[in-house]
Amino acid sequence: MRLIRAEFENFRLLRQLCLDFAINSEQKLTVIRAENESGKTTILNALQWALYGDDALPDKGRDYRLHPIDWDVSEGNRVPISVQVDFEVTGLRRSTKGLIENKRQYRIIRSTYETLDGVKWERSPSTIKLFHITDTGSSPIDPPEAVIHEELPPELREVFFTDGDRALSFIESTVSVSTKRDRVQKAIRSLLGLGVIEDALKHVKKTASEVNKAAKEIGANEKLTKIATKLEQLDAGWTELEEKIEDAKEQFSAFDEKLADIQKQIDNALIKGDREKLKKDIEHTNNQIKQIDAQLKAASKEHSELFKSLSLARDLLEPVLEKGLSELTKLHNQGKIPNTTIPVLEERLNSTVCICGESLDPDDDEAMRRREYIQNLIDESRKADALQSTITDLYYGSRSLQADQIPDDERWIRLYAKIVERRDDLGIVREDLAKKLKSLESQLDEIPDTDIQGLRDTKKRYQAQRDRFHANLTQYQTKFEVVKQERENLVAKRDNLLREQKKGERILAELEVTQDIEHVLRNSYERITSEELSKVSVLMNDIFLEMIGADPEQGAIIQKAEINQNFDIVVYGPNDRTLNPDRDLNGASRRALTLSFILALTKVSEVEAPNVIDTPLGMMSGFVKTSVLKTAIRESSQLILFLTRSEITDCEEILDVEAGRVITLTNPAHYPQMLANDPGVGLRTVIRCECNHRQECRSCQRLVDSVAQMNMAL
Amino acid sequence: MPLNERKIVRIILEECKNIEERCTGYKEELEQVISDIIAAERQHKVGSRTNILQQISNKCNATGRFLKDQRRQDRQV
Amino acid sequence: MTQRYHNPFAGVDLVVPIEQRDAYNRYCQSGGRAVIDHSPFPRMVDFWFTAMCIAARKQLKSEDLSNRETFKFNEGSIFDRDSWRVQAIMLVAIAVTGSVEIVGAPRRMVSIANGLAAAGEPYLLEMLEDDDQEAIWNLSDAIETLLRDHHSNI
Repeated sequence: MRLIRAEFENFRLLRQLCLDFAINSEQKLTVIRAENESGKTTILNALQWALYGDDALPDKGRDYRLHPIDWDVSEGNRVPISVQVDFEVTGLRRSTKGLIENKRQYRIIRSTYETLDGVKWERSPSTIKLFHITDTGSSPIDPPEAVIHEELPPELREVFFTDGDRALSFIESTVSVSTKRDRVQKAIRSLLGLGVIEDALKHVKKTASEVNKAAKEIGANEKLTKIATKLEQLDAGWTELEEKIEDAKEQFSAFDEKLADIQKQIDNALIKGDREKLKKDIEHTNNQIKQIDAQLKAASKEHSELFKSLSLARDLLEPVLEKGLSELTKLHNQGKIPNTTIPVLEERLNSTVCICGESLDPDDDEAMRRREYIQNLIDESRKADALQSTITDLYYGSRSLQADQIPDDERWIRLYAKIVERRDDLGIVREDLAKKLKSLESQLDEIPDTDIQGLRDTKKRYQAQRDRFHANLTQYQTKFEVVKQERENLVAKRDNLLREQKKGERILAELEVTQDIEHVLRNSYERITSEELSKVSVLMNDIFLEMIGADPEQGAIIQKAEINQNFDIVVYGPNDRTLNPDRDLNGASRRALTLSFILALTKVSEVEAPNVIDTPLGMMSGFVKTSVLKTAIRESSQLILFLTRSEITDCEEILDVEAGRVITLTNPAHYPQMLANDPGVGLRTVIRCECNHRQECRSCQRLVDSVAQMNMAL
Repeated sequence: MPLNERKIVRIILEECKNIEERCTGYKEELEQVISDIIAAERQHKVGSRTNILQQISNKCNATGRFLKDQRRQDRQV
Repeated sequence: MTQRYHNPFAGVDLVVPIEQRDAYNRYCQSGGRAVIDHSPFPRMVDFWFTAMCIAARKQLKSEDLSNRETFKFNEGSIFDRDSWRVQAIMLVAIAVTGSVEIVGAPRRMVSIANGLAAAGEPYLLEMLEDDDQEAIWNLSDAIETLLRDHHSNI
């Protein structure tokens, strides 16, 4: 299908606008040159509205005004709005010579009214008319949707009408994986015709069941009847089993996706911090602080003990005690202390020999005289009394106060130094713990109240359910194989019996036909899903890499893009690492990826349909821009691009060669800020001129960027 | 034949070549009936008010009849 | 270290001038103070004893407290377990009087010690309050300085 022309009436800015498109296969590119707010997106919406109705409008048309915003109610408060699209369809007809092409031209007109009431407005349901245009005139086609949806199925709307800014719906991460997968799958299934084949298979199977029933009724052969009945039962159960398998697959996928999602939530929460773990760490730190505080308290007590210590007294009194001690020493040296002579003397008196060796024998006179002397000494000593005793005790007992007797380690200064060191060390540890506690507490404050344990519990549940569906799936698939085998056996037996019966010939023939048709359809389906999908994937990758200029052998970040069996569009980096399109690809690459998918799908499916793209080259420059443009032109059967001047920059030479049609659209409201000349149009509308990408006229001439920027600032 | 029918038909025609030639002209007949079935499914999909099951059943029956008759002829030859 | 010995000072009063009572209360833990670093002395006798040692070291004159209003904070029996304190007081008394016979006059020795403690208290107070830290650190630093200077008489 190719677009030939479009006419717009009172569709927002498009008051009276006509566009014609290049349909020459040599120059299949149409460029609509228009700056922002010059109707590009409006044209895109209008074309889609014409073909698909309100559903194709933003927010399905709810609160989306169609009439021009400055409509003059003096012209009437009922605004007629319409869009007319002429298009051409190429059909294939089988003939004895093979497939023959034939082109048919159609005109679709969608119209509606919006009734204005002050600031409010109401839109009536739109009407759609389709005409087949020939040399001799036009004839209406009813229903119009039959042709439109045949050529451009609604599920392919985003494939053929692409808003460059939104050209990400197949890969954007703001939608769930299943929604993306769904969109991709629907697009592929539609373009590759899988849905049609599935429906055909279903219906042919039903036909086979009906024929089998007929086999039962030809009578006479009881065996045949039994087999046919059994087959009927199997067939009835077969569909149900297929549905159960599909359902189990879907449920399995759904829970698989849920699991992935919840794992992501857990991972994110853990990156931010495990709340429970942090609480435990805080508790542990608090315990450590308590311990250190106890140690600090003990050290403090030990410190204060220094002020009741012997070492303090000794060291403080050192110069004073010297005097006292020297007095005692004097006495000691004089022999006046210790007062320990009495026991010694008394001991001597008990003996017969003195220490000096002289006799103390009481029978000896000389010895007696010695004994009396000793006794005198004892008596004299006893007279020295308590004072002597005290002094003696003091002399001997005060050794601990003598500084010179004490090792350095026990001096007060040293003891104090040890206490200081311990208190300082403990203080440092205490401070570190306090900082750690503060840090943990502020980490805890920053963590959202994610219940990680709750998530983990949910994960377990999902896992269990996923595994349950997997088990069911395996069970159903096994049963399916058994039923399939049984069916095959029964079919063989039935067909043999039918062969033996003359009446059975026709039924057998019909059964064989349905069998063969099913076989062909099934093989075609598998071929399309494996081979064709693979072709789309490969081509998408080739186009994409060509567009972004990445050479895998050079180790560029993007190595490969593919569509996997789950219909996910996946991009790989080095070492087969999966890249996240949102995070790891820049804007240009994301657009290029979506365009590559669309172009590859269209190409592989050999669909002839237009690609209408609004600002495809936004966020691109240099190599990527020209590469994307050239590739898109090559791969599309009809390419209609809405481009700003900025997008056209550096692509002029390509357009010189490839563009079959270039039209410029200008918004007069851009005067005087961005337009050089007053267009003399008061209405909010869009003006068309025939200037191509290298030309300017009075209507479309723009101020150079610097002047325009200055005007904007003013 | 709109959209991608060209492609689907081509694949189907290729698959038909692998079918056993049950009688003279059987493969051609099968190609035709499958193409017709696909076309009928498309029509039905875009809202054409047809009893699709009946249509397909009729086509299969017709081809079945062809097979039966042609087989007889082939046997006589 | 517990020792069984004859404590000649048992029954003799340990006193401080009434005007020094507040200082004793403030810097002794036994006054009900919970923060050790602000009240470094475990007991009043420790304060008293340290003040006495400082006065003796600085060769201050033992004050005559006989005509002054004093406050009895304890008695000599507190030394029952610490013979070295008794010995220290005796040796200080010998140094002050120049005579060993003083050891025969326990009341005299305690009076000398009380007088010295009263004389030493202002210096001790200054040590406790001198710096910006807590009392225990002020005192510790001051004592360390004092001890390092063997010839310090200030």
